[in-house]
Amino acid sequence: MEQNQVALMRGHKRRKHIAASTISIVISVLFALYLVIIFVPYVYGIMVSLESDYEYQNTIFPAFRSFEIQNYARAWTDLSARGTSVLAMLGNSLWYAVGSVLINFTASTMGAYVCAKYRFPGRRFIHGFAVVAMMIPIIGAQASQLQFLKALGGYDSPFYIVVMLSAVGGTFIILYASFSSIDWSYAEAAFVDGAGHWRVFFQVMLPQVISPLSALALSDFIACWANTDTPLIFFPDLPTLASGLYSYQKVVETYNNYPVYYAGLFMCMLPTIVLFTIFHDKMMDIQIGGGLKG
Amino acid sequence: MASQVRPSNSRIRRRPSHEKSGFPKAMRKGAYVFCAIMCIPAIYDIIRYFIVNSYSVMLAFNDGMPGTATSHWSLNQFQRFFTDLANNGEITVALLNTLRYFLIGIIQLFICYFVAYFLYKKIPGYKVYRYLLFLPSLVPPIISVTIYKNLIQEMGPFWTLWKNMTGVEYPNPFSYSTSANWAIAIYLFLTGCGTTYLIFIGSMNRIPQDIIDASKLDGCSLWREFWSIIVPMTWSTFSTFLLMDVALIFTASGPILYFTGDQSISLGTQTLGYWIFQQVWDGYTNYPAAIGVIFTLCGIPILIVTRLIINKIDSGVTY
Repeated sequence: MEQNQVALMRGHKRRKHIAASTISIVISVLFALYLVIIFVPYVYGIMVSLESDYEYQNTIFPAFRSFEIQNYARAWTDLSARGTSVLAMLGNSLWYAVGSVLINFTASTMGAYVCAKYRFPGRRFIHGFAVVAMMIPIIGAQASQLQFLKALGGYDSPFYIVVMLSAVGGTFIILYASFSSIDWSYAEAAFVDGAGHWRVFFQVMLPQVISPLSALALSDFIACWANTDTPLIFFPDLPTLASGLYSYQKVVETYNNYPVYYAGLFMCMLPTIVLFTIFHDKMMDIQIGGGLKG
Repeated sequence: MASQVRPSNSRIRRRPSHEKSGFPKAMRKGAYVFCAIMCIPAIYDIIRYFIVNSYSVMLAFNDGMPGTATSHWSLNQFQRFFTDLANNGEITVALLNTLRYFLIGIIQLFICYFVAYFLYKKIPGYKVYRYLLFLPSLVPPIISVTIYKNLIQEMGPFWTLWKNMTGVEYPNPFSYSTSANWAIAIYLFLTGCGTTYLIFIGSMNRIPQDIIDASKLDGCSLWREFWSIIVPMTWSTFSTFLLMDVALIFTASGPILYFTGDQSISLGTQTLGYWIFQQVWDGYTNYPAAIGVIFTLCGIPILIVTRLIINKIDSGVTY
């Protein structure tokens, strides 16, 4: 009787195991199909970027008949927006994306650290403000932001990233949680050994949050690099690669020189790919404990 | 006085006086200076937030520029909004499109959660999928939208394939409102989960393996494991994302600028976010500010109700 029951249970477990592995395979196939749908357009784009203008205009499906790698060199010279060359646009993208990430993350880290680890008047207000501001985003403040920027001289200038620095946003909340979870005894030991507040911050506490910090920074960099709205409104005469290529779209539609334009678009993607290749381990292992509730 | 400056997680127990604050007595005064310096950017950000948003409210209640000769306080912008709403104007279309994209965002959030679960369960090829699913997030929307538009446009590769397969010639999707909105919705639906699924995987990886092993011994199926273990134990992370999506309900927007550009309003593809951007870009300030104030106020009760619902179904599991 007992043997029958054990055999039945084993059979039941085996059936469940087979069902689970079947589901896994089906899901895996679905993922593969989805990835094909996602990546085929990019392959098409790369193939177009290597076509000649004549081929593009006379064929529907691109083929590697002529391997026009010089389209990428032409993109450097041919594409321009508001009289700004690709090199200048690249420079603008760099100061905007790198500068914003550096300033915003320095500001957020500083505030998050002291609010999480020190008791001083106003720390609860700063943290509370960050939570409320994140949960209730003010819509349509671009008009007043523009006036504010013009008043402080940040309009159409790299000074924009300083005037519009974000110290109490989503990054602050996540870093606050990360710093809160670090044991203070590390700092105490450092103080006993004669370290000051700055040294404890830079050499003891900061290295412990470097993993979420770099993942968030990379994510923020990608967002800034791809952002078009902000450069178009707040620094229109300093086009970045994304906003410049958007402005150039009208020229492309007129002259139909898509291969060179596609080459320009793919060059615009390179920095994010390079950064991802360097930091992929940290990016793929984002762990944010807890939530915002409470 | 100086004793107020101490580490926030110091324990309440009898300790030598110089250790009460976590750092030596001589350094307590320095701690105030340190905190003050470290908080300068945060204080600046808060002050700027109040200035910018107060000015935005002032713009909403004015027909000109507050504080200048053109200043004229009135409720005209709000009156215009309600007239626009009653006549199914630009704002009504923008609102409907925004809600449509918000809904797509919510559906995507659930899909991301399932995707994360299967990657967590290490389905065949999970290591490759984990990377490849993230790659579309690295591509700036200007690139993906341009390629997508070229693929599906009239006489494009997809159009030709479709014609060869079905014999049907569809018109250019971006010439008509309905087809343009559908094309944008499909694009948004397809373009991945961003970093969200990675955070969900991180959250699932924190679940103690003992619990999963015990459930396996008890003959727990995948479905049961998902609903009875994974969901309650990662609810905190999931609900945070859900709440953040709801908080951004009226800012939900696709890359409308790249799809239909300055023809968005005539085509009826505009969202509230895009509409405000277009207005500011064209030099208008008062009406977009009023629209912003109205929808910010509308968002607050929705957020509060969602938060109450989320807290009510919170499993309260901590580990």
